[in-house]
Amino acid sequence: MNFLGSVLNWFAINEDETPSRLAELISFLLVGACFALLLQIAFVRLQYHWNWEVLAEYRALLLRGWGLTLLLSIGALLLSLFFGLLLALAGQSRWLPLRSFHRVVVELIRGTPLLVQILIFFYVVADAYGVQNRYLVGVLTLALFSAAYISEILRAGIESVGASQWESARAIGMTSKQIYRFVVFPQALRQSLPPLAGQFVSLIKDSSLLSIIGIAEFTKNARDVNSLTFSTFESYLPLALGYLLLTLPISWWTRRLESRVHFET
Amino acid sequence: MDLELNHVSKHFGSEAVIDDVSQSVEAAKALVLIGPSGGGKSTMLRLLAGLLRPSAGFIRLDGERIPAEEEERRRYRSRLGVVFQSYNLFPHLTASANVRLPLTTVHGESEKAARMRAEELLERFQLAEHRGKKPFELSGGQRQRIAIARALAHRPKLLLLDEPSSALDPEMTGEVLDVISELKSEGVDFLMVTHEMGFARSVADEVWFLAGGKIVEHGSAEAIFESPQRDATQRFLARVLKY
Repeated sequence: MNFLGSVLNWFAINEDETPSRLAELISFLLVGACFALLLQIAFVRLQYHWNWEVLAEYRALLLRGWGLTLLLSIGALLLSLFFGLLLALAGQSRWLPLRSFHRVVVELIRGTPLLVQILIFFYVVADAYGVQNRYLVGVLTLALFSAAYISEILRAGIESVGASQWESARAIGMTSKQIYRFVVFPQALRQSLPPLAGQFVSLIKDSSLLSIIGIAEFTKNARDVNSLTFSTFESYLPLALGYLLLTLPISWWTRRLESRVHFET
Repeated sequence: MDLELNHVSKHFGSEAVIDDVSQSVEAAKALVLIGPSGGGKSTMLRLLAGLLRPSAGFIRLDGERIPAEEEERRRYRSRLGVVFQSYNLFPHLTASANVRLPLTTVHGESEKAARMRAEELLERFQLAEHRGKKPFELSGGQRQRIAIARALAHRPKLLLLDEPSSALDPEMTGEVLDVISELKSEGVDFLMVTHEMGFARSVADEVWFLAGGKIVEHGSAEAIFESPQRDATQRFLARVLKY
């Protein structure tokens, strides 16, 4: 009992202590082993017969889907940053109609499901304006959806920069543009990085909804493989891993960026 | 500096923080504003700095009227230097970058020239070893001296200081006030809001006593501190000099 106690205690972190690398690693491995065990029990109970050969057969289809998801996400991510910034600036504008525009767009987009937006954009808006390319519609819809959230994240970041910073930048004689560029944005970005990373991760996962308008991205292709081979787990486990491969680096990268731009206010 | 205020008022909502002030002073080297909190000193400093617009009246500095148009106001502000009570350094920039930023962005100096000027100022305020530190790594006194260096970087024609030592402990207050009196002996004109009466008395060649949005009394440091004429001034000085 005492032995167990000291083992458990070895993993505990006291205030003002940072955990040792080794303890951290072992603790991750422990949790991983627990999850693996749970999965294994599930498979045993289902009496599931693995059939990984089909995966080899349809490897190209899955890889193509993964590649397309990557491309769609990168495109939508860059566009959504751009749109999000424009929207955030519109929300801060001195001109009232721009502020109203920001409010209306943000509320419309945040208040309706992405799935509905994709359907409306594809079957109504794109059709009406003669846009045939479903990939373009998909990326634009995804980017707009994400931009609404990003604009709110950026707005919060911009507002977190206090009035005294504005005053001292104005006292120096900087123009509004210079104040945003050299004083406000660098500080706002630091505030916004963690929620932005979360939003980017969401965007990548949400791209799976584009399968509804027949875009052959990762999720759609995995479902195709499943319906062709009836190998549910062999199709969907790689699917989950494939998404993690895209989302985990974003979390790591932001954590590194955060520590690099560290400062206290 | 020559300074002229002509029926200047500043309202926030229905409250007159500066109430129809007309006052002028010529060839002042060190103008010090004293008075009770909420009396309008900081608002007055912001009006003179071009950070606030008067609700009525106008101000002339060295014969030039503070412009009304925003772009001209920006250029007016860029010729002054302002130091705030809470330093207001840019927290994401190093000490040196704080001093360089106005030079490279507003005054069009090259990165190299700005670096030399920053180095010169940091050196002279004994801050050279801290050039690469960010504000949160520095003491209050060091931060305020960097703020002064930043305000002086472009050789402003007038330095405005808003209670520069109010947030500091006595030792750091000493550091900062030493710097300011050195500046005076070098011929940098300044206008300062302060609660440090001893310091005000030793450096000021003109003192304005503000209370209730008005300049209640003005004159040389000697006149104000030795023989104040108005009741309000006498009472204020008796209170602040009691301990």
